[in-house]
Amino acid sequence: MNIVARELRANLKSLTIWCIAMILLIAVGMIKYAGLAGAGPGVAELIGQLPEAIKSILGLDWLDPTTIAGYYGVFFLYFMLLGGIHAVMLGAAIISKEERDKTADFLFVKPVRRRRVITAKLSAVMVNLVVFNLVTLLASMFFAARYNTGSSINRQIVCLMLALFFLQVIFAAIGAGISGLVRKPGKALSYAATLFLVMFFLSSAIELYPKIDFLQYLTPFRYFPIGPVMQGTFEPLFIVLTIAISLVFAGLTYLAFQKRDLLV
Amino acid sequence: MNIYRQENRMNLPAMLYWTLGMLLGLLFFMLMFPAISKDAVVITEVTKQFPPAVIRALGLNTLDLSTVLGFYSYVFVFILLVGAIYALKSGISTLSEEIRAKTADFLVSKPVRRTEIAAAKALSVVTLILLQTIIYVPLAFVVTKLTTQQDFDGRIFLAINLTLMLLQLFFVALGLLLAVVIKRIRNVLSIALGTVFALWVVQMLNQTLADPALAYLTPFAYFDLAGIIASGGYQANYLVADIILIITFAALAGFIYQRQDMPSV
Repeated sequence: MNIVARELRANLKSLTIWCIAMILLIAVGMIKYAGLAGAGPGVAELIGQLPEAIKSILGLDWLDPTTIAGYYGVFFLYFMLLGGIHAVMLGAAIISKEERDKTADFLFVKPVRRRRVITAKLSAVMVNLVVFNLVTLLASMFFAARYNTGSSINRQIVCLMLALFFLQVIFAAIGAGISGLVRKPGKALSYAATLFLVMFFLSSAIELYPKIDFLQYLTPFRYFPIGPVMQGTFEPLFIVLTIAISLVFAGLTYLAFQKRDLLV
Repeated sequence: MNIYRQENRMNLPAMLYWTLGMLLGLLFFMLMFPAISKDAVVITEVTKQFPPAVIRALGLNTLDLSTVLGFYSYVFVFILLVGAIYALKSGISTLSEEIRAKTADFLVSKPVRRTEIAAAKALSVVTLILLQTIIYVPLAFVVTKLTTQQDFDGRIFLAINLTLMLLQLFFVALGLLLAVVIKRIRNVLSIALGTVFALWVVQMLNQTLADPALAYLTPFAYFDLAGIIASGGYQANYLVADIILIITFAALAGFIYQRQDMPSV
C-alpha cells in the first residue's frame, strides 16, 4: 500500500499536466465545433449525396462532422492518440525508472516480494488511467453540453470513453511488459515509443489503403472503430483480444521482472 | 571542441536508427502508391466540386493523392512527426542528460565556459539534424522514384523535404529551452512525444478553423505542403516566425543554462 501511495504521489504532477491538456484540448475543439455548426445543413446535404464508396474513403461513412456526436467522434481519434502515449509511457516508466534512477536496490531490498511491488505499481497505473478517463469524460460531457443544441450525447461519450480506457489498458500493459523484458533500463521507453509509433502508422496505413486490413489485429488503434462504438457495439473478438493482450503483457512483466538480475 | 566531438560520437548511432526508421516508414507507405493513386483520381474529382469552406470544415485533405508529390506530402506528415520527436528529444536530452546521469558537476567544473558547453552541445544536435537531412533527402528521392515510377518536379520535392529540417530546428530550440526550464526531467521521451503530438493535434484543429493567427501556435502549421506544391515556395511570414522562434528559444536556453544550479553528487 505504501508503494501504491508513493507511486501515485510521484505521478501526480504528470497526471495533472495531462488532465489539464485534455481539458484545454476539449475546450478548444468544442469552440471549433461552434464555428462548424454554422456551416451545418448545406454540408450534411452534400455528404448525403455522395456515393457510399466515396464516403467510406473520405471517412464520412459513419460520421457526420456537422452533428455534435459526429464531430466528437472525429475529435476522439486524437484522444486515442494522446491517451495511448500517456498509457504506454506511464506503463514503461513505472517499472523501468527504479533501475534508471538507481533506486532499484533501495526498493527491492525492502521486505516486500518483487511480485507485490509490481502489483502495487500496476495498481497505481490503473488509478492513473481511471482518473485520466474520468477527467476526459467529465470535460467532454461538460463542453459538449454547452455547445449542443439537440439531444444529449452523453451515452455516446460514455461508450467512447470505455473504448479509450480499454485502449489505455492495452498500451499500459505493453509498456510495462516491455520494461520488464528489456535489460537496459534506458532502452525500455525507446522500445515502447517505437512500438507505439509503428502501431499508429500501421493504423493510418490501413485507413489509407483498406485492403491491408488483415493487419488490423496488430494495432490496438483499430480495435475500437469509432462509428460502431458510439452506437454501443463492441466487437467481441476485439474485447477478447484486449483482455488477452493486457493479461499476457502484464503476466510477462511479472515473469520477466521476477527473475531478472537488476542493474544497480 | 572536445565536447562537440564527444556529443557527436555518442549520438550518431541513435540518429542513424531514427533516419532508418523514417526511410522504412516512407518505403512502407510509398509501396501503396500504385494501388491508391487509381482510387484517388475519383476522390479528387469529387472533392473538386466541394466549395473550399466545406473541404476545410470536413477536415478533408487538400492534397491530390493521385499525383506523386501529393501522395508524398500526405505520407510526409508521418515523417515530420518522427523527425520532430527525434529533434525535440535530442534538444531536451543534450542539456539535461548530464544532470540525470550525475555527470553535470564533472562537466561544468572543467575550465570551459558554460556558454561554450551549451553551444557545443546545441551545435552537435544541429549537426546531426543536418546530417540526417543530407542522408534522408537523397534516399527519399530514390524510394519515391522507385516506388512510383513517375516523373515529378525535383525542386518542389526538395522544398517539401527541407520543411523537415526547418521544423526540426524549431523543435531542437524548443527542446533546449524545455531542458533548462523544467526542473528535474526524468522521462525525456514522454515529454517529447506528448509535446509533439499535442502540437500536431492543435494543427489538426487549426486545419479546420483555418485561422491564420491560430496557426502561429503550432510549428506544424508553418509549412503548408499543398501550398508548396502549388506555388513552389514557402510563406514568408511563417518562415520568419519559425526563424525568430528558433533564435529566441535557443538564446533564452543559453542564458538560463548559464545561471542554472548544477547539482553535485
